[in-house]
Amino acid sequence: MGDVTLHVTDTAVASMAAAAARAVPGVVVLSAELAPDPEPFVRVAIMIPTGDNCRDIAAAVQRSVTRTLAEQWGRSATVEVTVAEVALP
Amino acid sequence: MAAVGDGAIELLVCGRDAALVWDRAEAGRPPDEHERSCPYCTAAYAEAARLDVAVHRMAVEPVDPPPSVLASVMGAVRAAPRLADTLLLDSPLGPNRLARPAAAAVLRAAVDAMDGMRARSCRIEQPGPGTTADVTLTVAARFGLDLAGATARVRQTVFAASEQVLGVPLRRVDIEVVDLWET
Repeated sequence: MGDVTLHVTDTAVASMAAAAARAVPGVVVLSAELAPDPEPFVRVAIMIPTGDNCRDIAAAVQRSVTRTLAEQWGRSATVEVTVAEVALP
Repeated sequence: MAAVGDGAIELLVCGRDAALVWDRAEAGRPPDEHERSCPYCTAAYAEAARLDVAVHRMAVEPVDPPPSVLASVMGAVRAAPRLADTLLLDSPLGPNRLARPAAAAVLRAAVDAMDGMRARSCRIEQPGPGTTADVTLTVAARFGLDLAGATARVRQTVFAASEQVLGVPLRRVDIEVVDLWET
């Protein structure tokens, strides 16, 4: 078998990140993007229900996205999660 | 027209609350005896009636937004919140962010859930270098409430909500009572 070239598009990376963020219970993903930085930098914006701790949920999403990108993309990325909305009752 | 206090109530030159005149005109009720003879009330009534007609005419016009509206709105949604309008959240993998308006809404809701208190505004600042924040609140209180005791409870509630719901530890909470209401 000859050499194989693999290229994963920014959109595909963003989709992986969004799916990993959605895996955290209660999280609604508003946006996910691979920022045009020299090093892989992924930004994810989420909405969470009120009552959940924003810091803890953001950290859980960050862990999930970081792990998923490492496993599926094979690269280590800096992930920054923004809690953009807290859904109040 | 004269402004009283912070401008919450606007009085006409004759001393009548302009909002009462406007409400009467918008409701289609005829002016009362004073308003019929007062030039200031007559002018305010006529102005409100003209505005009301214009608003209703525009309200029934069909809206046909251009196709670019959806893209513009989604672009704005994706761009928000700006980094400058966020608070930092601690995390072992590097800091995350919390939209400042969302954080303020949570703290205002915590105050609104208290008996006799309503939040008016909430400003949250992180002076740095850590994530510890300072909160400045303006509130309205029910008339007759013990303000010292009530604001002490507000302070406790805000400290707890910030730590438990936002995950942002607070250093100080400044509260200003800006209004009272009667039940």
